[in-house]
Amino acid sequence: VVSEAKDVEPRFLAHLFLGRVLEDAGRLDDATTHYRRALEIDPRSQSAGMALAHALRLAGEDTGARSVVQKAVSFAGQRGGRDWFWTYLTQSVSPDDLLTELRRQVDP
Amino acid sequence: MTARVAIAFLVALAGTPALPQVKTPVFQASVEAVYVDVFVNRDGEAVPGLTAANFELQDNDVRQSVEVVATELRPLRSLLVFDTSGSVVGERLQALRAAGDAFLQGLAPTVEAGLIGFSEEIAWLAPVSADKTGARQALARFQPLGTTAVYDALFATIALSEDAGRSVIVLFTDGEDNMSVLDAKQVMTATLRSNALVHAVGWVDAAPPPPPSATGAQSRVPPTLSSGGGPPPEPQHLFSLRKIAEATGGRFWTADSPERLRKAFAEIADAMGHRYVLRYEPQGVGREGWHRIEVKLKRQKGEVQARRGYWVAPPRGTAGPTEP
Repeated sequence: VVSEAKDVEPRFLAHLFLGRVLEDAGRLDDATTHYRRALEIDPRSQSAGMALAHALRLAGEDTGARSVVQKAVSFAGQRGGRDWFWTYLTQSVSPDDLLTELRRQVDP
Repeated sequence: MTARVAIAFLVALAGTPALPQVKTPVFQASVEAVYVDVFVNRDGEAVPGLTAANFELQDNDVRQSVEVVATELRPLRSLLVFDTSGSVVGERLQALRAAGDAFLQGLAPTVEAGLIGFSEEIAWLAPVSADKTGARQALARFQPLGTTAVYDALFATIALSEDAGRSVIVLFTDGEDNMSVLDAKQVMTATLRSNALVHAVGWVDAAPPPPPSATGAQSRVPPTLSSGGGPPPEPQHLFSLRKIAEATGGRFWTADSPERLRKAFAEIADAMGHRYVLRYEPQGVGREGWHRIEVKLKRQKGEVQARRGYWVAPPRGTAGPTEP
């Protein structure tokens, strides 16, 4: 469902959330894969950058984490205040709503 | 992002969550020698003149032989991390600028300092430099705007701080986090496994006086529920920042006035100037995993503050010890 969704915003959020679930489960390689996919969708997302950096530190990749944070911070002022995770928080979209939107895009 | 939201999403997506295969996280660290910053206070004043003979340090309950190292040999870089969200305005903003400027002016010329600002977005307002001019100028001109991502900001600062030596992170915020992708628990873990010393200052609006009774009669609210029945419990977000700061050996201050804010920053600067640096090479303990540190005073009275431990990563790809 996540990979087939057409709109990038719910796809971004889905990868971010899946990354967090996998991180909490200790599956750090899988978590970083999903965080990186979120960053591929929005390379300037600070939220995805912080999430990826945190998982990298848990995996012992401090240098990689620092590099990701440096890059995320370097985009300050260039996002126009946009990060889909921030939008998600302000709109109070429930996980069920997000999943419904993903399914709608895959099978309208 | 709360884990609850993310897990709810996964449950919705998959119907049944996959059983996780837990792999112990690993971390990089070096422990040929361990350095511990220690602050000793008695009646609110720093206690000077202590020697190694005045300290007893245990690493995972094993007493260690320590030496006191000159603080000049273990300089701490200062990173100011200031809330620049839209609520930091007026008197509060002026007070923050004044307190931060005084802090920067009080640093020794050789000590490097930098300034990071955060709302929902995190930005270097002034890069780390021994010349504090840039940081002072940035402090004077930043414009408050936006919401608050204090946990992301603290995590970013910790990650950025570890490229060279140790740092003291001085965090200021006036509000509850509402935009971070990371939560307090994640940042606590990152902090415990870092070398950073965190001091945090939280601006808390002074409690309003009890509403006057329209009839002039005494309030019927039971004393335990009224403002006169004791201090209100600490809000969760302040409690979390306090725990994070104290775990690193730092402290948490609350300020509800410009004077208290100035005093908090002055006390942080003063503490940094009166710290002891203990050095030891761990003996009789395993190398990897979480090392709980306990520092006590001998033949002296006083309150001791020090980091509560440090983390040594197992080799990559091995099943390591549990996290702190």
